[in-house]
Amino acid sequence: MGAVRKDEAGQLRSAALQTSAAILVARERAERDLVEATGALERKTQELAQSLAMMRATLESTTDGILVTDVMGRVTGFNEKLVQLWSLPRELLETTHQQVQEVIGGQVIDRSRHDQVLADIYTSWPPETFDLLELSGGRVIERYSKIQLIDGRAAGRVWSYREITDRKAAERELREQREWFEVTLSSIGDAVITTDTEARISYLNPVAEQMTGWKLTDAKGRPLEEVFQIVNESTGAPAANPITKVLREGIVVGLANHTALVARDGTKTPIEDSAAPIRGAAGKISGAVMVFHDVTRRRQAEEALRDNEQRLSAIFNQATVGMATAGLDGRFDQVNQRLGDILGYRADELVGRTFRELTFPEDLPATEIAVRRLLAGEISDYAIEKRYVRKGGGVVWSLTTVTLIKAESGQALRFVGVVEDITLRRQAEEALQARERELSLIYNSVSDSIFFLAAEPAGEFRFVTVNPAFLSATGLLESQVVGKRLSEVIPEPSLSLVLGHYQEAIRTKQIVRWEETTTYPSGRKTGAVSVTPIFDSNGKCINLIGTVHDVSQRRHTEEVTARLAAVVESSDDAIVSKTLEGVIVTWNKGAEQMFGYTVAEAVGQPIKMLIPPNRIDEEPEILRRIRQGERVEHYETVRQRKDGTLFDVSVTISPIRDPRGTIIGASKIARNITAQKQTEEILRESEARYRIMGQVVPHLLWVTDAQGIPTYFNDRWYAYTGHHESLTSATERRSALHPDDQRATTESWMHAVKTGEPFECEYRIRRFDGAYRWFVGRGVPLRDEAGKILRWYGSSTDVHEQKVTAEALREQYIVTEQLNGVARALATELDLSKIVQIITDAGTRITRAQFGAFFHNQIDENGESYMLYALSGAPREAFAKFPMPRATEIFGPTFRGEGVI
Amino acid sequence: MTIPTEPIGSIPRPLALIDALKATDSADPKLDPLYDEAIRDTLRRFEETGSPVVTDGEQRKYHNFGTYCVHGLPNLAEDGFKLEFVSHTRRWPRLTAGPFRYKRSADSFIDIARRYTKLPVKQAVISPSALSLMYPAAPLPDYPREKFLEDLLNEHESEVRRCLQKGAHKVQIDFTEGRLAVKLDPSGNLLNSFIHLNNLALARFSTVERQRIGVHTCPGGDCDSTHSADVDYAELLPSLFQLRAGNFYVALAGETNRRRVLEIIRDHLKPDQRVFVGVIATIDPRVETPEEVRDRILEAAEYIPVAQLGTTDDCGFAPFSDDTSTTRDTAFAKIRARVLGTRLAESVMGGG
Repeated sequence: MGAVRKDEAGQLRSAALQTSAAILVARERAERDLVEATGALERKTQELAQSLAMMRATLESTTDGILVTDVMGRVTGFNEKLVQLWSLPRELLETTHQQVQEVIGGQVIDRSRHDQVLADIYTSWPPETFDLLELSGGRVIERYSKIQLIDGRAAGRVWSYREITDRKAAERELREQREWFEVTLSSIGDAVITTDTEARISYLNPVAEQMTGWKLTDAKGRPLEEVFQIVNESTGAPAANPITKVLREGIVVGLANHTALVARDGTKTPIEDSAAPIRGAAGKISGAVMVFHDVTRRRQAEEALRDNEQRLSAIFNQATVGMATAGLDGRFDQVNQRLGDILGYRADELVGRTFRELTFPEDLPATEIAVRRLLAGEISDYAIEKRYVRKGGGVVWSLTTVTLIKAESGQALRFVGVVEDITLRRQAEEALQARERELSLIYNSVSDSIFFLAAEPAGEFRFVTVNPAFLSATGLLESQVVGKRLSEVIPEPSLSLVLGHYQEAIRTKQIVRWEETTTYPSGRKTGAVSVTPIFDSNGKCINLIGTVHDVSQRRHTEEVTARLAAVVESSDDAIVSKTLEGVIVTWNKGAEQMFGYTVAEAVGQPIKMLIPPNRIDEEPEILRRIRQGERVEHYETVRQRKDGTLFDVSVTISPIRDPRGTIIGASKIARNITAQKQTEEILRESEARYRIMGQVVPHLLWVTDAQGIPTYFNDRWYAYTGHHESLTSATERRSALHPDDQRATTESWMHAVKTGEPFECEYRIRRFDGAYRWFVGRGVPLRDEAGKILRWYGSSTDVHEQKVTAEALREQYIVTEQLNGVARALATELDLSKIVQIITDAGTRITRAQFGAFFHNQIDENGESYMLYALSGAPREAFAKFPMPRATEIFGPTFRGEGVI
Repeated sequence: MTIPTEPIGSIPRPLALIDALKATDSADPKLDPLYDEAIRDTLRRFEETGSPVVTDGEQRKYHNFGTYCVHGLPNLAEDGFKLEFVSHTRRWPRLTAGPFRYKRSADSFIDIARRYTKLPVKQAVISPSALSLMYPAAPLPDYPREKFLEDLLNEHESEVRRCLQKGAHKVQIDFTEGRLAVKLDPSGNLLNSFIHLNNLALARFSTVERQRIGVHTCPGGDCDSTHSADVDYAELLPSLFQLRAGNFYVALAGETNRRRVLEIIRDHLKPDQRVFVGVIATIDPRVETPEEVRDRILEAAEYIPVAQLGTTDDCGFAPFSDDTSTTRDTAFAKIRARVLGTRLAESVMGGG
């Protein structure tokens, strides 16, 4: 691109600036326009607001419900009336026509048509639509819709809904009335003729056409007399035409009796009629109407009625039920004899009385209600069971049926009542009810369980009802049983057993009984069950009724009894029961063995046969005490066996009572105590012996418990130690031991107590005078059968003399042994120093010295004397520096040759 | 928290297309397959960047972002207004006779783009103020300046309205001459008149419509060069936010003192306006990292409420159809960085 000339650049810039200026002008213009437009807009807005407010007020004051939608079916406006008319939820009105129509559609009868119409409107978008919406409940809504044009364009649609239920109803009524009127006139059996004020025919109904022989088309406009000719039935003279009088006087006129209509063809028909004026809205007479009918048939009917009445009267009087008719005031006007019989009156006595005065006062309210409903037309008749008061005061139960006789006009005329005596039936029913109450009482109060099951398909049974005893026996709640299946109530294995019995009952159609034991919340229960099947008319089992007699207690008693019997039978004791007269009733094996009589030999025999003759007086005394309810325990006496031998027995006799507590006999348990007596004798002797021995033996005797605590010392112990019996504390006992022996003795004793090994120990015991003497103590444990130590028996034997003697003997023996050794050495040893040593040793041992030394002098070849010595019991070193012995007190005699010390 | 991110518009044309355009007229039907391929490829690659909003890359805008609508009109001369870039000069066409009518409307581009993408498509159009520069200094006989401006506004309104009707995600008015106006008339009168003119156009739209209309300003970006980067934003931005548009696309990444610019934006942004700040320097050949982008956003968020913040590129990557200074690869790499960086910033600010 070439260089741009400077003036060109300036020109271009100027173009931009000119444009800029032009833009500013444009902008100012735009702003001006804007201000004007804004002003106009505000004015317009204000106008619009006013018109909108007016519209809104109009919208709200209209009686129509208004809905405005746009072309898409969105709701753009509505009024309050619309909300009320359709009970619309307000939030719906924020949405679409579719949703509003959902609510409206739900209220109309023909929903699909309603929806279709709406869909068509939205599809074809017609300028206007109109249709009716019939709502359930009889309401009718008129729907009108019109396109809403804004600036000539379709902006939406205005829908108005107007309730026209009343108008529609009125229209319908009018139309129906007219139709009804026309149909009635053309179909009724009466002839109808209407005329104008000039008595010219304006209408004949078909019956009138037929009876007069004139067609409406021919008759219309003709004078009445021409068409409707009447004569006196009997005289044939023309009769006065009632319409003339009606038109003249403006009143309703009935036809004279015995009038006959002369038809166009001359035939005569007896008629009855009446005529009335037709008045316009203002009350002005605009014509007359005459209604007449052929009375030929009615006359025939009246004849028939008379016959009928006579027949009915016969039935009435001969009926086996009471019958009466009564006026609306309840007063009898006709009463048949049967009713008289029921109530105890003559029939004619009842005429004139009211049913009210004869009704038993308690039953009057119910009667009055029925009568009121009957008179109100709510019911056509009623039948109630009620009581009447008989003549003379008795009460009779009745089934009273009352019908109201009405005139054709519907007006009530009189009551017809039929009264049936049901006193007997009521009595039977009451008896039945009483029986039912009794049964119910029994059902609820018996202690046996009763249950009622419904048989269901597939062999299942369901509890329908159970009595209180069932619930208390099982401990189940009613809610856990009633309505539940059998399998939900009865656990296995009982369930299978029970079902088996049920099926058996159904199969055999018999009552089935069995005994079963089942565990329920209340515990283990044994019951005697019986089940009765109930069948319907097809032979299908529909129910089962069961009863359960709880025999748990009996069972328990039986078991206890059986156990007791076993005990009785297995007992070595003789167990016998007898009557208060002393006759044996039961006899067990023990009794057989003890007395030698078998059961057969004993039962039924007097108990006295067991008593030795010299004790025969015991029995009345025992029986006396038993009768008083006392118990004779461990009565030791002598009895006699079958073979006549006597033996010692201990007898316990208790009264036997029946369940009411009356004493009916006695049970007697006899134990042979011969052996026991002998043992006791031996024991007594043995004890006496030991007691004496204990006092005479030279030993100190003692007993301790299992823990080694002394419980007994014999008299000799107390005598020796000088202790008093009451001062035998452990310390004192130890203080009796020599102090040097206490430790060893205690250890030895504790060891024995701990291990159960026999105790033996030597120790010294201080005598009462303070001298100690040697004893040897021994103790042995006494064990029970299980080996457990019960106590220790011990003795301390004085061995002092032996001990001292043995000591002396031992010393003599040692000296003898030493001397023998020295003698053997002298005989065999040649070495003098060895001999000296042996002698020294022996001398030291015999004297029991600590050590011994033997000194002697020897003169050597040089004639010099030197000292030699031998040592025993001490090392040589101890004497190495020993000086030459001097003639001391000890050695002097030796040196001087006087002898040995 | 979501920060909207949108491109400006142009993507470098494929070289084959550029070469072909040298040889024949831009409207030659023989070029259609090349245009279509370019648009298809642009939208595909746009989608690959993860960009939530795309453009057709202005592949069919000939010869550039401004004159596409009048290119080929008989009543134009080439010697119109000149855009002096730092490195080169581009010239605007000059109107030689009335009446002024667009030859083509940008909504036609939306029709083509819709064939290739399901993503929201944004459409850029030229501002009335830029086109107003076509009227020569000497008034045209029988076609006064005022009449020209009225025609111009009508043509512009019609173009924007059609784009909106065709479902453009946003219609962006390229107002690149804003800064240039300050350069031309330091008194500010020219800039104000531009603002008025564009507001006259914007006033024809409803508030709701204006929420889908945005205005883009930048110092120009052509052949890696600018035309008015030397004009201080402080002179432009206060007036810019007087425009009655709902969105503003403001080049920022290429600014030397971004914080100062952000302060100005903060002081003048109105509550119903959203500003999309440029986080990609389109004239810088270097591809930003997502972290860099993230940091630029966090920086901007210090000044602008996040609810009023969006991100964009500083400028189109090739506002002129013959620009080869940036490769397509680079352009999409930068767009990808913008998208990723914006997501990073969202996770930092919105706690993921």
